[in-house]
Amino acid sequence: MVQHESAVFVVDDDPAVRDSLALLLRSVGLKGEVFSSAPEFLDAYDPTRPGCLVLDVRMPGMSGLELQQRLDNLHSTLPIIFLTAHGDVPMAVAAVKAGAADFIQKPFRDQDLLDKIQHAIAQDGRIREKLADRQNILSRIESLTPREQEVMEMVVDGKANKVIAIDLGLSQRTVEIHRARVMQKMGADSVSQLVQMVMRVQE
Amino acid sequence: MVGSRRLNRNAGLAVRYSGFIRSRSSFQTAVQDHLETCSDLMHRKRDGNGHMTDESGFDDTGSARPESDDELRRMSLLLSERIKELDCLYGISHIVENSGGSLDSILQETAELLPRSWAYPEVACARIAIWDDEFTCYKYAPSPWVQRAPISVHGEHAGDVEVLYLEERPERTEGPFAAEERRLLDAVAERLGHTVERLTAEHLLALGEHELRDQLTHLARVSTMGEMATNIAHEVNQPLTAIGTYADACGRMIRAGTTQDQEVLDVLGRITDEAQRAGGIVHRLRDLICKHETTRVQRDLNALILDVEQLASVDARLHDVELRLVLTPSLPTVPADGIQIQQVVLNLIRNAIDALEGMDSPPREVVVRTLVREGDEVEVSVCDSGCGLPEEVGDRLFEPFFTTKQHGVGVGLSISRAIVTAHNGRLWYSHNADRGTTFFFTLPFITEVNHGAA
Repeated sequence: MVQHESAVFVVDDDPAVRDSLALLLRSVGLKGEVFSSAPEFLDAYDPTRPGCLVLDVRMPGMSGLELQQRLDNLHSTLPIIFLTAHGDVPMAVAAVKAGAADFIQKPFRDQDLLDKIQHAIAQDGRIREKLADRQNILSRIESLTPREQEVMEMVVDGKANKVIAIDLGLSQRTVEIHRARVMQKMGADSVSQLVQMVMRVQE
Repeated sequence: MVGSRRLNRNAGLAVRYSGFIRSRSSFQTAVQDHLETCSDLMHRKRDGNGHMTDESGFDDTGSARPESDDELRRMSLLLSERIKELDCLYGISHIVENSGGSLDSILQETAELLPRSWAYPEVACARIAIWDDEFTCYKYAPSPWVQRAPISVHGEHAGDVEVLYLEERPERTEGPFAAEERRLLDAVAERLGHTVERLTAEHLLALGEHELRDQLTHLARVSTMGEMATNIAHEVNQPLTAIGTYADACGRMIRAGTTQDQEVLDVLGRITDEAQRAGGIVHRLRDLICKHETTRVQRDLNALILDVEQLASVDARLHDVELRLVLTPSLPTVPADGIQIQQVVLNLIRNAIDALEGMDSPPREVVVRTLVREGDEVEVSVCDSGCGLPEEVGDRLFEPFFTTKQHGVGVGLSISRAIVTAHNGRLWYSHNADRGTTFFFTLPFITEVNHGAA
């Protein structure tokens, strides 16, 4: 899997605001990519690219809130920082309620925005890590045979081999073999590790 | 002549009631019919010595001689029946006028009233059914002897009004019921139909008015300073954001030593561009205000203010503020763009209402005055009993983006002053002696006839 560098995607209809933000991002060594409209960003949107989105709430055509909705429909987890104006408090509230990471009022202090951006990028990293971990565990579970999955569920439930054997009508020896296979395929060193893995995908 | 005396009394009643029934033309016609019938009868009685003529339209024998006891008795009976009908219709009028607009109470009381007007009130009862509701008089019971008239609302059958006899009575035109009673019942049904129409219309109107008021308030908000202010704030915000961000980025680049002079100069150039752009927005705004000269016509400021009051009073009520107008009558007209001047007045009133925010002690009032000042000017003042303004604010209040309000943008007064100045007037304020602030503006009027016209 190719590891992308985190990028700050900026969507604002105002060319000067875009340009100045790109310059600011460059000045602190962040990779910035600017878009003049919500559809332009959607066209280029790649869910595998990590980072965060700095999004103007008021734009002609598709507004920032609409773009947020669209991304939500695409199950995007990209954190969004909304740029709002003085009188846009209700909009900002709506955005945060809809899951925005943060918002900042224009004009802003550069450090405030940069702090929020760093925070959002870190948040995105954590989310992606968690998702990757989950995906990893799920694919391991998929590699189990139906019988192994059954045994795993019972092990996770805290049942002893003897009980599992009776419940499934198997010999205790067979259960022991299945169990060893489960631990091996799942890459778990102990039962408690296995329980944790199952819990992480059940969240 | 007992009948005649009663008739006179009721005729007097008719005159007194005629005022409030004049708008119900069909009802009036029904009453008129009855009055005419009554007056016919009176006429015939007064002319008792002469011949009964066909022109009365009431002589079913055509050639009957007067003075017969039978004839008199028959007329007396007719008369008393007419009076019962009149009483009934007046009774309904009375019920409607005193109902306070409750349809249920009108229908219930009418159901109680109706039986009295039928020939055998002691066995009569009534029922009014309309849509899914039913109203019956207290002694109502179903019965085979029923007279029924349909109630139609906007041309559609909505229900029925019924009078029933609970016991058998002698046969008349319609079962035990008389032709006159049929006419009365039809008149009552028509009257009830119209009442339902009127009350539902009023109900809808009341709903509509409320919505309309909300919309007007909203419209007033968005179409005046509020909308302008938000748009301007947003528009000015963009270059300000860009300027701030460019400057910040520039500073970082210089501190990090990662930049060339040329790059810094380039960014400085962009900052200048953005500052120009912000300036341009302010200029456009001024142009917008001053360009309207062509729409200036002679205006009566009192009339403009009365219009504004309709909008502002909604706001005032919402904030529990009394809005009073003290308008000098017959003000000279001034050449003005009515909408702009109304925006100024509305803005001043809104500010005044805002100034009363958090002031609990009375009076919570805003007074708008007009008067003629020497020097050919009309002066408008908006006085509030609010928290007042700090002394040090001074004329900065009229600077764009200066505000004393927590959530203000600070463009209302600067635009207002620009509008008034564009009208060759002045806008200023003074601190009230007791408390609060008064804003004044003047607009010049032209007293001299323009002799220079070619």
